[in-house]
Amino acid sequence: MELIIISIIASIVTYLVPKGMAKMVALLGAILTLGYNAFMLNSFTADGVKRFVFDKPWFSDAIHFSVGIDGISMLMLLLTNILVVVILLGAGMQERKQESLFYSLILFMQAALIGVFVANDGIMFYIFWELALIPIYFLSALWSETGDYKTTIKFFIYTFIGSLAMLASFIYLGSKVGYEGHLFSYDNLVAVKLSYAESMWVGFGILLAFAVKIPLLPLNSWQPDTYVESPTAATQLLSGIMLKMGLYGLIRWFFPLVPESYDFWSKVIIVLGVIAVVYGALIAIRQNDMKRLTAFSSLSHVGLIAAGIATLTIVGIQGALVQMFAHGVNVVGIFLCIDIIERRAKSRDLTHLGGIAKQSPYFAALFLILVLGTMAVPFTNGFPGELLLLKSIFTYDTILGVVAGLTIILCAVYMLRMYQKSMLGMPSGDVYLFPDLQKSEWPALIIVCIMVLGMGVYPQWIVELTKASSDNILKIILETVGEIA
Amino acid sequence: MIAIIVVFIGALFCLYLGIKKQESFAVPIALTTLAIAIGITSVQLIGKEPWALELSLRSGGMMLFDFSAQLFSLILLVGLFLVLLGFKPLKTIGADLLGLLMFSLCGGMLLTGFTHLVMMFLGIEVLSIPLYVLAGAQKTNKSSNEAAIKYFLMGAFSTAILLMGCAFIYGGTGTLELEGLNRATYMQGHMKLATPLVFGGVLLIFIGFLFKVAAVPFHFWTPDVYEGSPTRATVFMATVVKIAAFAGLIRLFAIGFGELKDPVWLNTLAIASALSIVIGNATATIQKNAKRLLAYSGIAQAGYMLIAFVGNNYSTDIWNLWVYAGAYIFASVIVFTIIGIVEENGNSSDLESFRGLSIHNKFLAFALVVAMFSMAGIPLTMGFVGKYGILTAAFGVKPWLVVIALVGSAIGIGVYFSFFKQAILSRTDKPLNKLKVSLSQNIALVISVAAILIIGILPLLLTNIKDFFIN
Repeated sequence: MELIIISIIASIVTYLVPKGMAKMVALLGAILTLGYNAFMLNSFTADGVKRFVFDKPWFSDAIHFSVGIDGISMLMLLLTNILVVVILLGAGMQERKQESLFYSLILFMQAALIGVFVANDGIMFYIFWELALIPIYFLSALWSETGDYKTTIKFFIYTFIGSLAMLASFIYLGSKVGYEGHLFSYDNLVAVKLSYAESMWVGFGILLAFAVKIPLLPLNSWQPDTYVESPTAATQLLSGIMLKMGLYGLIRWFFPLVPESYDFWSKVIIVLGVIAVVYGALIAIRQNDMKRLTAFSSLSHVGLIAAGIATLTIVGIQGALVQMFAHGVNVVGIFLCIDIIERRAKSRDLTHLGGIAKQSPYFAALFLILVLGTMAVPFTNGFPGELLLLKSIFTYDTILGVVAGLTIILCAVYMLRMYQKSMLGMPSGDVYLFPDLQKSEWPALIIVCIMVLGMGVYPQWIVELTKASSDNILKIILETVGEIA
Repeated sequence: MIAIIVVFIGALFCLYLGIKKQESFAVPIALTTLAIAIGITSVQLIGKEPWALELSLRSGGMMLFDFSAQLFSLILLVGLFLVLLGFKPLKTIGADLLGLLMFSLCGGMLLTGFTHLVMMFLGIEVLSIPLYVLAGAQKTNKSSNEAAIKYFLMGAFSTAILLMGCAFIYGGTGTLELEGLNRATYMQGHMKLATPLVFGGVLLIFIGFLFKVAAVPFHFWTPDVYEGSPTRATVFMATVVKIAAFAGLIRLFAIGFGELKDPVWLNTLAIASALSIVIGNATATIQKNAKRLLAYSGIAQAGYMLIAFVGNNYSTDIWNLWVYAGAYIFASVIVFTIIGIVEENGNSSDLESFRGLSIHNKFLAFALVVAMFSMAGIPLTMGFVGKYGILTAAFGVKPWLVVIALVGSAIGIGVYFSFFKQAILSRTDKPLNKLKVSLSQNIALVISVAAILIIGILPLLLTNIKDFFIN
C-alpha cells in the first residue's frame, strides 16, 4: 500500500518540478520506493501468509481495495523496484523532449505494477493491470523511434481485448460466489467451484489476458515490433517487468481460479511454451537488429517459464520464479547495453558493428557477463532457474523436455553470435570511435552485473522466500483437483 | 417541479432580452437560473421529502417528482449548466436561442417525472421543437439547414409513431396512467392475455424513443444532424436530449411496462442495444470529422445505456443508468467543449485540425484523454464505474449481451485512438492557430474532469450516496 502511494506521489512530483530536476526527482522517488521495500523485506517472514494487508471497501462491499504481500509478491516487488531504479539510471543518460512527463509516466507505471503484484481482489487486479497499460502506451507512442503508431495501437488493442476477457471472467466468477459481501476477494474467487465447461470458458478469458502479455505463441505478433518501436526505457519496462505480470498471473490467478480444467490448460500452455522456446530461438538466430533479436530471445525464455509453471510442480514453479527474476535482470541489462551501443554507433544492426571490445574493454566485459547470464552458464543467474524448469518439464514429458532442452544450445548460438558480431573482430565503419563507459553509465550496468553474478552464486534466497507461498498455491490447486478425481 | 418553473421563467427572461437586444446579460442570467434550479433540486433530493412537497402540485395525477425524477432532473440541469459554461456567446446563437435551449430543458424535465402518457408526449414535444430551430440556427449555412430539415422530419415521424403507440396502448388497456398501465399489464402478462394491441403499442413507443436516443436501427439521422448543427446545439442534443429521452424511457418501461418485460420487449431491446454498440463503434472508427465520430460513438453509448434496462431490479437499474448517464454527460461536455474551442479559433471540426493539441495546451489534451478513457470505460474513471454497474446487473439476465458489450468496448478503443492520434501523438509542422480558452470554459472542463476522476477513483462515495437514498 505504502509502496503504491510513494511511487504515485513521486510520479506527480516529478511531473511538477522544473525541467532539469525531473530526472533526479524520479530517481530519488524510485530509490525511496526501493528503500521502503527493503525495509519491508526486513520485517517479512516468508511463511506463505499475506503480510502488510490493507483492506478497505472501494466500490461497494463487493469490491475492496485489498492488498497483501506474500513471498511471491515480495519477489516481484523487489524485481520491479530494483529494475525501475536501473531503468531510470539508464534512461537518464539521454536527453529527450518532455522529460518530466517521461519520468513521471515511468513512476506511474511502477505504481501500477506494484498494484498488480499485491492486489488481493479480482477487480483491483484488473484495474491495476489496465493502469499499467496506459503509461506504457504513452511511453511507446510519444517517444516512439519512428513515429509509426500502428504497432503501439496494435499492442494496446491486443492487451485491451485480453483484459476485457479477463474482466468478464472475473465478473462471472464473482456472480458465482453466492453470498453478499466481499465478492471479489482472492479467497472467495478461489473457493468458487465451477463445472468443467464453465471453467474452460472462464479459464479461456483469463488466459487470453495473460497470454497476450507473456506472450504465448499465437498472440506474440505485437512483441518484436513494439520492442523495436519503443524507447529503450519502455522496452525495458515491457520485457523486464510487464511480461512477468502475465507469468505472475498464471501462478497466482489462473491456475488457482480454474483448477477444474487444469489438465487441459496445462497441456496447452506447456506445448505452446515449448514451441515458443524453439520458434523464438530459431528466429533470433537469423536477426540482425539487436533489439529484435533480444525480443525473440525473450519469447523463447518466457515460453520456457510458462511451460515450467504449467507443470504445476513445486520444482517448476520455483524454477519459474527464479528464472522470472533472472530474466528480468538480464533482459533489462541487455537492452541497456544495446542502448549504449546504439547511442555511440548510431546503429544496432549487427552487420554494421564489430570490434567494440578493442575500443572499450570494460563495456565488453560487462556485456559478456549479461550474455553469459542469458545463456544460463553456471554461476550466473540464468542457470539455476533454467535447470529447475527443464527438470520439471522433463519429468512431465520426456520428449517435450528434450525439445525444451534445445534452448541451451540455441540460446548460446544466438547470444554468442550477437556478442561476436558486435564486440569482436575488427572495428568496422560505424564504430571506429567508440569511447569506453562514462561515469553516468557505470552504476546501472554495475548493479545489473552484480545481480547476475550474485544470484548465480546464491540463488537459494529466492527459493526460501517463495517456498511457502508456492506450496500454498499448489495446495489450493491440488485440493480441487483431488475433489474432482 | 419548482425547478421546472424556475427554468421556465429564466427562459422567458432570456427571450425578452433577445427582443430588447440586451444579449450580453443572457448567459449570466441563464447560468444563475440553472444554478438556482440545481440548488432547489439538490435540496429536495437531500431532504428526501419529494413526495410531501410535490403531491400538492400533482397536476391531476400527471406528474410526480419522485426520487428518480429528481436524480435525472439534476443531471440534466448540471448538463446544460456545463454546456453553457463551455461556450463563449457566439454571434450565431443569441439570447433567444439560449431561451430555446432552456425551454427544451423544461421538456426534458417533464420527461423525467411524468406519470401519464399525455405528459410524456408533451415532454417530448417541448424537448424537440426548440431543437428544430436550434439545428437551423446558422441560417446562411447550408448544412445547418439540411440538419434542421432532417431533424425535423425524423423527429416528426418518430413522435407520430410514438403517439400511435400511445393510442394502441390506450386501446389495449383502457388507461394512460403509469400505475394503471402497470396494473393492467400485470394482469395481462400473468394470464397471458396481453393483446396484440398492447404488444404493438409497446413496440411503437419503443421505436419512437429509439429515434430520440439515436439507437440502431433508427440512428441514421444523427451524424448529419450533429455535423450540420452549430456545436452548441450539437452538444445539447448529444447530452441533455439523449439523457432526457432515456429518463423517460426507463420511467415508462421500468414502471409502466415492467411486467411485460420478458415476453414482449426484452429481446427487442437487447438486439437494438447489441446492434447499436457494434455498429456505432465500428462506424466511428472510420470517421474523419470529430462531430460525426462523436455521433457514432454516441450511438454506441446509447446501446450501453439500453443494457441498463435488462437488469432485474428497477431501482438499481435506474441508479445504474443514472451513473452511466452522468459519466456520459461529463465526458461529452469535455470533448464538445474542446471541439468548440478549436472551432472558435478558426479551425474546422475535422479530426485533422486537432493536430498538435497537446503541444499547445497541455490541460486540454489531459482533459481529452480523461474524457476518452471515461467513454471507453477504462478503470479509475467514472465511465468504468458506470459500465461496471450496468454490465454486472445484466450479467445474470443476458450474458451474451455483456459479451457483445465488451467486444464493443474493444472496438471502441480504436475510435478514441483515432482522436488521440491527431490530438496527442502527431508531431505537426503546421501548428494550430493559437488557442484562446476563456475562464468559463476552463471552469467547465475542470468541473467535468474532477467529477470523472473523483468518482472514478473513489466510487465508494457514490455507493454511499446510493445507500443514503435507497434505504
